[in-house]
Amino acid sequence: MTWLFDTCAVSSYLARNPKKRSPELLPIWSSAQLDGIFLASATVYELRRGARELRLRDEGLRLEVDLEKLLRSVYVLPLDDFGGKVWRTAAEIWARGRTLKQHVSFGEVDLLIAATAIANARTLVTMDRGLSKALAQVGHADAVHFIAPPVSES
Amino acid sequence: MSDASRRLRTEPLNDDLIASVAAAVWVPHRYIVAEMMKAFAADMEAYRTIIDDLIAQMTRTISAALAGDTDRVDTLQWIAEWSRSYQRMVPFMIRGAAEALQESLVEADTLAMFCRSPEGGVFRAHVLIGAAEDEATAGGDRQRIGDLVDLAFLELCRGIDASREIMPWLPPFPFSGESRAERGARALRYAEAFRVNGSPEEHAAFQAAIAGRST
Repeated sequence: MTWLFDTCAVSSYLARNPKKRSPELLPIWSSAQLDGIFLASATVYELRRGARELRLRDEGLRLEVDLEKLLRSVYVLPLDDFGGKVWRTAAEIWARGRTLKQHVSFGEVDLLIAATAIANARTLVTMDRGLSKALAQVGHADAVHFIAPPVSES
Repeated sequence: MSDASRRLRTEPLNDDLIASVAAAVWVPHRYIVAEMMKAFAADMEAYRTIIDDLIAQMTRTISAALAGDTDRVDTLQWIAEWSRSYQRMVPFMIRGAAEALQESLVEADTLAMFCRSPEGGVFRAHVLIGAAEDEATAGGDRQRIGDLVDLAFLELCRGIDASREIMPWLPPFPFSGESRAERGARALRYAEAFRVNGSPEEHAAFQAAIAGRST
């Protein structure tokens, strides 16, 4: 299986508090390292903004360094390559959601991350139940691997 | 230049201080680099050897001061590898580079802007790592040496990313011989370092910012 980790799946994996780390997530990260870890550029944006906010408050210097080293050791799938395939996929998913009898809507960043996974034939690992359900409703159930958040989070 | 280094070793480290010190150091730095480029224009191999030796010396000195702090020694390795890659591009930049350096950034306003800009990150990193080496040589404060290394790394990241449009692209990963699996294992080690290095408060603020919540 070729994975792409949603931001919440990265955030959970990076959590200092073990109660916030889903046990189901750990073996997926371990197996993914053999193929390399893949993230969407939109996830990089969400992670980096967290580190930058801390630094602008004069905190988290080491966290930002560790995060940068991590981000430069994973493979980042961009939005703009291959003739804008990710954008096109996102537009298609968004439109499909809108034309269902019961409208399905997506958060913009969630949609771009999901579209990055689908356009690159990768399975999205997410802990976002709503996103997982919405993607299934627009015909992409196979593109998602949902992991329940740890009990303290859910 | 020694006064600039002293400021970075003793004053509170912030963006204003780093930009101001970088601006103060730019003119003598520019002169030295331009003279080196002229002197070694006909023998770039000798130039590379000198630079490699300087980088190796810097790495040894700072590593010794940070002994036991494996995360920061690793950060230093990134800086050293990137610095070597950067220097390997010099032969491709040499034609007219000395003259361009002499002519560039002579106006104080332009120089101040450059020293604050993302593109100035590589230069700021150079200044910061120089101060870290000076502090290490003087047997100085280990925490300050570590902070200077961390800041140099972040400035280098910023500078290299910002320079993509104007110079050959440096690979984002300096350990180019690694397989995907080795690189993946390294990513997991950095994730582990991320977990243990931050305080609970920092982690809470980080998670909240990702989620778009206030703390």
